[in-house]
Amino acid sequence: MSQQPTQQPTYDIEARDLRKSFGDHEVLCGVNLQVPKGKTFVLVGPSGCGKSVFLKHIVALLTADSGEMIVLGKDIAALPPTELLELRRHVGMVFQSSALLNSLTVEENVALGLTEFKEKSPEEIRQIVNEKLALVEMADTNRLLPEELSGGMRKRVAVARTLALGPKIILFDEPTVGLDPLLSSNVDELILDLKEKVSCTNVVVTHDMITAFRVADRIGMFHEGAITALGTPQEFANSKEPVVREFIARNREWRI
Amino acid sequence: MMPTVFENIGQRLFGMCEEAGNMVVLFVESLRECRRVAEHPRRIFIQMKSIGNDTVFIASAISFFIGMTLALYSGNALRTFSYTDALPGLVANSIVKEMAPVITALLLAGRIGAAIAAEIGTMRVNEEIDALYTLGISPIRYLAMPRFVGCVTMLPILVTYASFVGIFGGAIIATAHFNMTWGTYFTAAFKSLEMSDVREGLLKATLFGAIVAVVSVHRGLSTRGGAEGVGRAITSCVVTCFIWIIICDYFVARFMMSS
Repeated sequence: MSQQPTQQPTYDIEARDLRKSFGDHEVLCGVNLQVPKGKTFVLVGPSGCGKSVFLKHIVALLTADSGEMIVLGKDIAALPPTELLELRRHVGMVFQSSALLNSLTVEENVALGLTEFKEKSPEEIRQIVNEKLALVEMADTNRLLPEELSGGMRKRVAVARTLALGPKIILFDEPTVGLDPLLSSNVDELILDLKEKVSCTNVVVTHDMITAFRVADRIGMFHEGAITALGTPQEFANSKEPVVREFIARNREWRI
Repeated sequence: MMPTVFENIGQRLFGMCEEAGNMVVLFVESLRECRRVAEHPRRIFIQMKSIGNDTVFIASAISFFIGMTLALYSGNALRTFSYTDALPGLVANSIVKEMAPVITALLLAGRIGAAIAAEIGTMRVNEEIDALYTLGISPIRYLAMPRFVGCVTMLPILVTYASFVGIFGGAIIATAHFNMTWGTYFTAAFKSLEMSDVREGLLKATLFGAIVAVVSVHRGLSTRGGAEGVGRAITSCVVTCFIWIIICDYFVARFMMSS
């Protein structure tokens, strides 16, 4: 039997025994997680269980008390500020509130990361902005201000802003929260669309199981500051873990 | 277990030291980012324009009336000693070295500092600052530096302007109540001013501009807790600016006198 070369799994994100406390309250209690390259990983769990805190560790908006967070092969806690800013340009984040700069137009928001570094000409930037806005079906909204957009539209512009930098990882923090079922479904489709058109790793944090089952390659359940269950959507749906079963059941009841 | 009084005092002192340290770091970082001034002329111009537009009218009114009040009180006091000739010099020195820099800086803190703290505080609670970080943009470069340059350059200009207006206010009282001619007043006023007096006024203005910029950006960036937090940040920004401006004013005066 010929010996096959052993292929090391490549992970874009790797958390090792990550711990974080706010005062006496420990939010992350030793999180271990690996997110493979190019996959969509969905992190579910009840509100306030630490999912968003974990997400903010990936992009170093928060720093862990102990443990390691390896992103694109680099330990982010050990990176000097300039390298950290550079790494962040490869890790886009779509915030729960979309976090568009209210004083800037849609076009200026999407172009923000590009204009700041002056690596591209204004013409190239305009072309990229139009292309990304078209990708999220928001063409011809360039001149609008964020306050003139609906919640779903703001989310799309936030995605376009993230895509403009050509990230290797996109983090979605509660992408469907506060949206009606139709808009939620639109956002789910947008994430599925991105999976097809843009080859990057996605991490989606949500408590909405419909979104989770639709977009995930793998699902992790976050409970009491740690990952308690992990698997494919199918494995997750058939899980015998009481916390998972209860969460899915409650989600279904809430939906009805 | 309830913390003791000493623990509370210790925690408060520790918090104040930490905050002072953070402001020093912000000051140094803003200063370091100033080497990129030429890369962001539009952003800096917008700040300078807003600072000038929002402050010039109130600065004019306040300086004018302070100049008049100062001339009225000191003129009356000097008349009892038959020494009203000293009035123009007294008004000019008080305005240029003390009144114009301090009053204009307090005005800047109340009007522009509060606006900066509110704007950046709102951006903080709306996660816009976090969004800047994730785009690889330093909020110090994007937000702090233009405001720092704006305050540090515009306050000396406003103080110079306010000084002229204040001296002019004094001239109206001197000519109306103390039988002085316009020519005598202005000649005596400008003759009494030395270069070191002007330098002192401008040094204070530059320092106060830096204080307003650093404190307001710091308060904005450290805002927590939604709309209520933004309100707290604004109040705290104005009060902190006032305290630091008055303390700094004394030390600059001491330093200039001794040198």
